[in-house]
Amino acid sequence: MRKGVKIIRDPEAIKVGIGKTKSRLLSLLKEKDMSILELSDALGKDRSTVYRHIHRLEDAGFVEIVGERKDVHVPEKVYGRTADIFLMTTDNVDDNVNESSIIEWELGDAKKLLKRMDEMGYKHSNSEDLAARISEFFSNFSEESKQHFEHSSQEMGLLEYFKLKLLMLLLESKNHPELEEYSKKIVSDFKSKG
Amino acid sequence: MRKEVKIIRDMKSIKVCVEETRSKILSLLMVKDMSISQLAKALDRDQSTIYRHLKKLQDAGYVEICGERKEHHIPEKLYGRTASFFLLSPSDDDPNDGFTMEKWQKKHTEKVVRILKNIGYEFDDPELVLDELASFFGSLSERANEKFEAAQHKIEGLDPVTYFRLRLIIFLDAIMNDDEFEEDYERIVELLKEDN
Repeated sequence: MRKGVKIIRDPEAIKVGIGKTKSRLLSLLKEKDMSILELSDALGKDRSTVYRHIHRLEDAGFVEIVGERKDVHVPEKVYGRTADIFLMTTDNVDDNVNESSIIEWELGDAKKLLKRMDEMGYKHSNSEDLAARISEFFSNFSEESKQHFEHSSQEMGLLEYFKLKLLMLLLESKNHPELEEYSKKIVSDFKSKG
Repeated sequence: MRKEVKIIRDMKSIKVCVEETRSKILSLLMVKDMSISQLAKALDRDQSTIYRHLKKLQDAGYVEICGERKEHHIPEKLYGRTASFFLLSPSDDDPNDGFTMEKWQKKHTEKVVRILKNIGYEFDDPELVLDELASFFGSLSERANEKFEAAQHKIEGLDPVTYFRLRLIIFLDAIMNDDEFEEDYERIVELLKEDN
């Protein structure tokens, strides 16, 4: 059954999930469960390519077969996401060469974010440091919240996910001063231009 | 050319995109430009239904025809979004109509409240929590929309995750550095106690 949130910890699986075509496939499956034929039609790629990508997503636990449908009398498997949100977490990753690509990917994401902040008129100093802090901020949920999230059976969109993340951060900050210090540090690096 | 962000102020237009099928169409078009037949197949609806919805979206400025493709030698128009993200910022609510941004914001916050409860936050008055949170997110959204609007010609290459992360950071900045939000924040923390 499809969950609201699923935690992905295996670095190999994370690498599968962040692939470009694979993340487009996952986006399409957000709206509806689909067969290989439907996916290849929607994406404009041939079936064998889509099949290969879907197969890897299935092995890594992102999608599963959820049913079967007959298309022009040929039975076709229907694929669906295993969760609305995949929480990819690399907390326990050692600094070995194999996994550094994920950390780099996250850091790249944080740098993109900083560039956009720049364009929106937020000034900041020391980008390298801040990028590292931001990537940590987004990849880390406290272990406790992660478990809570995973056990909640509600369906979830990106919008709800980020609202909840903000709320939980704010609420937990009240009990954990070090967490409040942490968020303050991130925003104190920004100065709004006006 | 497709913009990154587009601000929608007209209440009539806002109502067009919050409808369920139309918001699904807009989500699919985030992945790729599509034809009526592709959308109909992906959403399991008739082509005529899709056509009707697309027409409304086109009239309200959310989608446009951006090319053509051939399907079994028959040319088909391709539809695409006019912007990657639509920011809903109503200039004013129409009092003659049941739909208001406040209601919409509440509908979208309901799920957040349910999940909070599921994951162990306790509160005495769920209605009050919903009201407070909806207005909190409503004013934070306004703030973020202003920031995006001011920078709309500079921003390029925005993907959904970056977009939501940006909003979160803008929210955080507003809450931590702006007195206007500080009070709301304190009140909400007071309302939500963790059940331990």
